[in-house]
Amino acid sequence: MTHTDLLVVGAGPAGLAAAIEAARAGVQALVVDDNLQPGGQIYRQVPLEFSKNASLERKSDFRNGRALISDAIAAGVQFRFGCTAWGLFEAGIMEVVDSSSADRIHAARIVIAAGAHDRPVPVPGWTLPGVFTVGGAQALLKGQRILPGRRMLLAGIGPLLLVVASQLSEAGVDVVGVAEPAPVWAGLTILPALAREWPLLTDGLRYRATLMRNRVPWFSRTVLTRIEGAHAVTAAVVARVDREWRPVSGSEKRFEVDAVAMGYGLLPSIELPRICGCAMEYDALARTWRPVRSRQFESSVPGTFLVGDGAGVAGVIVAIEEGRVAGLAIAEQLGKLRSGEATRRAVPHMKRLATLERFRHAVDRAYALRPGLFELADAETIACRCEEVTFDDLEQAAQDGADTPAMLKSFTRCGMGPCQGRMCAATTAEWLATRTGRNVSTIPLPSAAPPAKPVVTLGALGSD
Amino acid sequence: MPNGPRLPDVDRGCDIAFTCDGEIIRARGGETVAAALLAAGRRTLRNTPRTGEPRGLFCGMGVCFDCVMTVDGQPGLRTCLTSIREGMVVTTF
Repeated sequence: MTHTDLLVVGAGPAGLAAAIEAARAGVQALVVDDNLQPGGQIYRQVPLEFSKNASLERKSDFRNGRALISDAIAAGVQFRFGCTAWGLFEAGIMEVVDSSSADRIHAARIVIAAGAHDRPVPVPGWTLPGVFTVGGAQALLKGQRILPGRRMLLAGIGPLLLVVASQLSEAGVDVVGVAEPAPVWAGLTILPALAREWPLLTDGLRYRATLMRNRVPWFSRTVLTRIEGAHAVTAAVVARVDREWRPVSGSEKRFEVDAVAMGYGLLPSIELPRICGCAMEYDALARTWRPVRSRQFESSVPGTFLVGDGAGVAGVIVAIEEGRVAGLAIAEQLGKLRSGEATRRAVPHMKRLATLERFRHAVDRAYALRPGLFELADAETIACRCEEVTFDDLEQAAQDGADTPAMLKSFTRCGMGPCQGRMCAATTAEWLATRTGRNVSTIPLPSAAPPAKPVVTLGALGSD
Repeated sequence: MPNGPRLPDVDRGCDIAFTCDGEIIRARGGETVAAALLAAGRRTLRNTPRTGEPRGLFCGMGVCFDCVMTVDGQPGLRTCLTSIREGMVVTTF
């Protein structure tokens, strides 16, 4: 058993910011992450074995990430990497495991900053080797400096798609095109909400300029309908879509590629918070479930705070500001700051968050998903990757009476595999909503039980 | 288009050799098993148990479990999160 004042699950920007503020106030903070290094996704670092050179240093994500990591180390934050937090059976005691042993961390306060993962959108052929999420393509590019493919089609919507398309083309991938179902002017609707956050505008323009310079075609009102290949990706097919994102027949265009990256927005990773008992609410605009939180980002479970993309996808600046507010609140709750001090010091962060909330809302509205996206799969398309459950299997189960995700799960095993529904829960809910004519917000979430991620080292659990 | 999938803008770790299903793969220190295999031209990391369909790297961040292989006798390890070591023995699960 390890004792600490504050346990932070997740060493991305939100978790780091929370740990920094708490530690600076005198709170003993321990950060765990199942990755091998801090930074999360946006601040993903190259391995320690790689030596960085000048061109890498110029990349702002590397620089900003290293600065935040340095701040955490300087503040005395402790880290455990390759360490997965998987369950909570008693209040304040988090079960963790790494490659060699299990541990129980007893913490007076917990911050869960587990980040987000790409929303999987099934289309025929989406399980072929060579198909990546845009997050996965970016992780390979940022974290390993290895290209996912030579000739790629990108498909999806939203800010991350633009960023990754730009980064891949700049790195030398022949990006044959980017297929985005929204109209070409969708991004412009965000401009009024930018307020004084000029870097957001200039970043966006810079990415667009990179794509133009590299002659990457941007296909608006276009969706990826099919990926082809016998053993791996050999081609991708796109089609024009109508306002509901339904493909227009006869408009298909085929590209020979060796890799595809798909990115239709992100889903907050709420699995561990749910296991810890945190209440959730449905965000209809973002089309995701997210936790209920106080103004200081405390969840419905007293003492457990949820910050960053893991509590609602809003980007890195929001993640850091939320982390700081939570870290300060925790420091005050633990008596390291005078009563009211946390609120006072949080004022500039709260102001910034209010501005960024308007931006996030505008982004969610501009890039809201339309129904056609959830109708691209055919009967043979895989719905649950882990258990190889097809949409036809789901249909059979529904005809046999399954009308909730839990019933679909018990009839077909959909959601029972090692990813524990991360790749199929949203898909299943959308499918069930469409089939039964219900709003997706009324589809109950599958039950949440430990482990949050599979615990592979069974031997480790035997000790202690 | 740079030469091969490894970008030249970083100095990688030392040369490392490991085996994958008996075949020697040469890679660089710090690289993950999945990335090293991809750079060596091997995209299929496993075949699904029921239908034998090929799967490879998908989410790249440890949530999808499509990249799992047996590493030094330990099955079910996510190769996107596993750093290569000299002499490591990787086999299809």
